[in-house]
Amino acid sequence: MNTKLLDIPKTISEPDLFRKMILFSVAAHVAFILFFGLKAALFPNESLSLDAAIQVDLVGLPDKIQQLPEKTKPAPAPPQVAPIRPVTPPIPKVQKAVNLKPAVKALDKIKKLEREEREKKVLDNIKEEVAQEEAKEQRQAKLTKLLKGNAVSPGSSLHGLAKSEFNEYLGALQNHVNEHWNLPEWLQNDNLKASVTVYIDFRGVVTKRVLVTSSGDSRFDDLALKAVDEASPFPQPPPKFVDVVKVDGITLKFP
Amino acid sequence: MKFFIFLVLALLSSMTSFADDDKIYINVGQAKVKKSLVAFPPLVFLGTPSVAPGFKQVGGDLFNTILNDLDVSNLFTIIKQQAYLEDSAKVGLTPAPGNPNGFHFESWSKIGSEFLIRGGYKMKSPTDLEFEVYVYYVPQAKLVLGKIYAAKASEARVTAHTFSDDLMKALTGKRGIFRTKFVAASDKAGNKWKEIYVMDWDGRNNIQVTNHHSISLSPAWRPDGKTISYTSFAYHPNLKSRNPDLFTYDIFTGKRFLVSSRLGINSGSAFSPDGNSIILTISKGEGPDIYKMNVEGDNLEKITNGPKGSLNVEPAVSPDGNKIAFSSDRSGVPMVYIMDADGSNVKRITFAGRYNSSPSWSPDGKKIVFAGQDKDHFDLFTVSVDDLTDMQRLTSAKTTSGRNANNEDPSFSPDGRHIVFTSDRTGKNQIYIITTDGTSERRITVDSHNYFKPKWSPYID
Repeated sequence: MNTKLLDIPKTISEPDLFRKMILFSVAAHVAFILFFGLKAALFPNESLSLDAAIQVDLVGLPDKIQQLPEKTKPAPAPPQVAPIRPVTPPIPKVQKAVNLKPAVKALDKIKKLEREEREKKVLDNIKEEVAQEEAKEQRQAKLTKLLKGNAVSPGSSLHGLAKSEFNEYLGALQNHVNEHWNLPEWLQNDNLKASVTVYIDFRGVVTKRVLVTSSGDSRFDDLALKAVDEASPFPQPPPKFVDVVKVDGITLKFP
Repeated sequence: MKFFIFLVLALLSSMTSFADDDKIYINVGQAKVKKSLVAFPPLVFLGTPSVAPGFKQVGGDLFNTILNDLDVSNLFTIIKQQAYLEDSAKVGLTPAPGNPNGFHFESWSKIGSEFLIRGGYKMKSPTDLEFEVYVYYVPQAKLVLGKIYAAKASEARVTAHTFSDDLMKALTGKRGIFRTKFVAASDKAGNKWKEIYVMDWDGRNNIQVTNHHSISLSPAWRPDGKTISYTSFAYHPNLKSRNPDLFTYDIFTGKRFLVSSRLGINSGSAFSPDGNSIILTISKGEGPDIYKMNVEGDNLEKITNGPKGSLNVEPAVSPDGNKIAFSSDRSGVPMVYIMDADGSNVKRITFAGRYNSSPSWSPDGKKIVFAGQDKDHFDLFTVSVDDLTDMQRLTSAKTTSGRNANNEDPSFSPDGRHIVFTSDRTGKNQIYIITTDGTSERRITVDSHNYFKPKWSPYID
């Protein structure tokens, strides 16, 4: 029997289809890359401007600072004195006479007890002070032993609280002199600098001022000296610094 | 630990008071600025009246011009003549006892005068002026300046300005601004046209320098102080329309050149400090961008590049030529930016307000003044280039109807102490000047016309 094979249409196996699709995909990608690569090479675009991102806060523009004329300080108001009113002495009320003897006895007893209590307290305090003094002497003796060979004296330099107080005084002095330090604009020059040493008495009055460094411009120097003259009297120095400002003086650097 | 100790020592040494070499020092600090009291008695006529009948007019011009200069300088307070103890007409220009009939310093020191200006003039002929003037520093009885100026009688005001400049130089070491000029656009010529005008800084000698019968605007000075550039809507016969073209004009020779007539905007020009290049806005039918070209209009280089659709206008070149400030709406609203001269390193410098424009550099390059709008009007502001938080409003004015006036178009003076601008507070856009700290504002033009975009000239020799 002659059999004829039926012409069955060929079906593509799944692996073949997958391979073809992969090839197609690769070819398409290559074509895309070639197309855009050639386009970029032959027809270059304008350069892309990349600006840094910025944060924009919606704020208003500043107001104008009003330049007001310098206010003159008002004269100090006279101290407020309370009006003097006539005082009428209270009229004592008339009371009935009472027997005060038992009450006076009781009061004497209380006073005696209180006196004894106070005396005891005073004695205790004295005892405590003596004990503290002894302890202090012992500590001092220890310290002296440790510092043997060194000459320790109080010295003249300022430390700790004293120095802080002195700096506070200098700050007040600086503000005070600066209030009187005026310069015309035509003399405003960074290169002009002068120093004036001032000697101040216990009231703050300048007893002597010496131009120790000249700016080179006598007009500038004169105005520095004028500022010192107008600023005198200076703030009163604290008692413990009177000698320092009176003998050593303070050098003011302008500006 | 060592670093900590070093830090503590450094902090201590920076305190105002310290004690090195056993002395106690205080740094007094910066002085308050004060004005100097100056006495300026009337000028003495030293000539023969019959030689020049117009001598009073000349003397008046000299005196009033100097008086105004002294006032505007902001350095002086002028003592009223009623306070004078000495009749200057009866004593000489120089002091006694050197001059037996001289003035006495005590007469001036007693009224607190720090400076005394004594001047006299004579006319050698009706047209020839000789002005002799001396300035004394009264506290030290010292001569600061003494000169004799010879000029034409018609140049009395220039002579007075020259003396004021010399006085500024003698006192501050810096040149005065009294011979500088303004250039501005104005509708003064009528017919809705705007032409360009050049005037002295005090508004005198207002001269029209264009006659295009068109809209001419945005003038600028070349650093030599001789040439200006401006834009005018010139008629192009081939296009049968007008185009904003850029011109230059020599104010001394009267020569005019068409520099750029590229289609579209050719405007907002500024010169480089060497005067050899012009920076301007050109649109060429596209978005307006900033370009650079030579003074002949060639060698065009694009400096800004978009972003697309944004405006980049009003370039202002820094005094050293390394930076350009400009206005741009690239952030959505017009703001002021700076960039390097080649267009790189663009940096926005204004963030506040709704509309900031018209930047102008201070001569030291440290500040920029601009016009800013935050509500319904423009005011002038300065901002430090290195510290954008250091911003100051300079102006604040009301119109006659009570609304806030517009103060716009600022430009720094060459000495950096003043700014010229326009304001509509009177109902017309007039020219004003103000000091850079926002004080001492004064009106310069007093007429019924409008002025736009005034620019302060460089020093003019």
